Amino acid sequence: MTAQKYAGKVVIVTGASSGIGAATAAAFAAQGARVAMSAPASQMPALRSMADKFASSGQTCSVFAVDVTDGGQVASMVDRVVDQWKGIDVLVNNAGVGYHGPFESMSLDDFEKVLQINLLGAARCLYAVVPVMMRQRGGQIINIASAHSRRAHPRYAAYSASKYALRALSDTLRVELAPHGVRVLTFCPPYTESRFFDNVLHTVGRIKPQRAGATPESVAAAIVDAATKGKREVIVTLRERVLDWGNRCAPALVDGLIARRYESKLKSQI
Amino acid sequence: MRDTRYFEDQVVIVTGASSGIGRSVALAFAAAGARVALVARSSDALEAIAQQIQQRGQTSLVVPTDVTIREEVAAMAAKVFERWGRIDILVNNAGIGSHGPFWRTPYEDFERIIRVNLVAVATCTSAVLPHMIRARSGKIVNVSSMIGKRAYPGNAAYCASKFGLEGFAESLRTEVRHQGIHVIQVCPDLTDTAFFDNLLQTDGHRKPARAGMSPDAVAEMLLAATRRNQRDLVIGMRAKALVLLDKLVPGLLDRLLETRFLRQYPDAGPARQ
Repeated sequence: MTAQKYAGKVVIVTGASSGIGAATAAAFAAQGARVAMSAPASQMPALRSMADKFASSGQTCSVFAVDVTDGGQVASMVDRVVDQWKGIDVLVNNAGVGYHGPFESMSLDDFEKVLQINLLGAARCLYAVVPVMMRQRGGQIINIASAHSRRAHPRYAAYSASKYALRALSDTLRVELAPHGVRVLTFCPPYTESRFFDNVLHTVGRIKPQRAGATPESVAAAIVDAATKGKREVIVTLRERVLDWGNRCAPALVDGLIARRYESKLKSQI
Repeated sequence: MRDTRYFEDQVVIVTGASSGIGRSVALAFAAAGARVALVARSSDALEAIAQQIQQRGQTSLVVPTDVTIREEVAAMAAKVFERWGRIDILVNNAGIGSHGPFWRTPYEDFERIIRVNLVAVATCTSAVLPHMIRARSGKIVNVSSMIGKRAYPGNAAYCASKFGLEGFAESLRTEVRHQGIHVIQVCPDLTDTAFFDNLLQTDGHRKPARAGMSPDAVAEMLLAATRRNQRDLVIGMRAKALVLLDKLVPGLLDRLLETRFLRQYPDAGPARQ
């Protein structure tokens, strides 16, 4: 057995009750970390049964009912983690929701909700955790973005806005916190077979891609690997890296290709 | 007198029209023959601009509006449509900023900046979009920033809001192309405006000594980009260099910006022991 890379480290994972969040919490726990997992109150049964499983394999964890749109709940979780384990080594900002549908028929309530959770939720966690890491003079922040944070797609106006904004927050903090020994990773997972697509606020038409998604476990392994290597940004799949580079070199061309594909989809739906 | 009335009779809404780039853009559209709806919170400043436009024999309408309040935005769009029967161009220009390290900017300011610079753009866009879709024509022009392309330390909330705007625009652009609607992003470098006087927080950061571009020059380029439906316009050599470096060597740029950040905020580094 190889040495555990995160033995005794304290890791917070938000949105840990399912999908990438759950797998990431498990991956850090398997590397010896003490893991604080949060999810909204409605997801507590799932979170508790995960905690039982961790405990039975001798891993250390605690669970928190936290709505990331409530700054008070976020702050009190962070306070309790610091009380209990005396510091925070890694924050994984994973909590997020999706929305799939044209902007013209999207309610402004839904637009705000996506930003409230995906962007401001992460900001609230950062406001609570950054001072702790600065005091310790070290830590690592992992923001789970999306390939949508590098190239936006139709029917994802709010989601893309939230993930672009999260990437900016990563980029700013990486520079501001470097003198304090805090590293920041933007991780863009591929399409994953998780409950995300069952949890979108709204969908129009077919949404689950027909191609098989990555498993949450393989994504979690890639997250831990990127974290260990101290990378600044990771886009997992080749397909999405190619799209990112295409978009850097010839964004207008990529616009045209994506718009044409969208338009032919619209026609085939009529 | 301009002989370039490229926007003859077009109806243009400009948010944040009371000063800076917004004011220059409103005046330039009016001079190019457009009918301009002037949108901002303070009606006094808007009235003064409307008067200036009227004196030149051009047309405008003052619509005092807080763009963060949905009902006011909906009423604004309705009023413009009622007056002129069409809405051709929306210039999302209203914006605010704050300076200082992330941890010294209150969370409330962070959220406020996201609400004004990003959520309000969605609100205004959603108010005009039905009119443009019906007409199968229209232009949404977003005033972003150089640092909406590459995030700068000391501007976390502002950069997040402008990046969010970029993602929003990029998605929307591909959705509405088939409806004859264009989405245009304009990203100027530092501009000489009241922006630095209107910061929510300055954190000791003074208005840059170096002169920025004039808002009139930025307005002129914005109009040109609007006319030719340019998806994306980065204004200024420094801005262009920054965008290029970020595409090619982002990690190196991180280190350059870190040096600059610590020079700007000497107390933002770790305390010496």
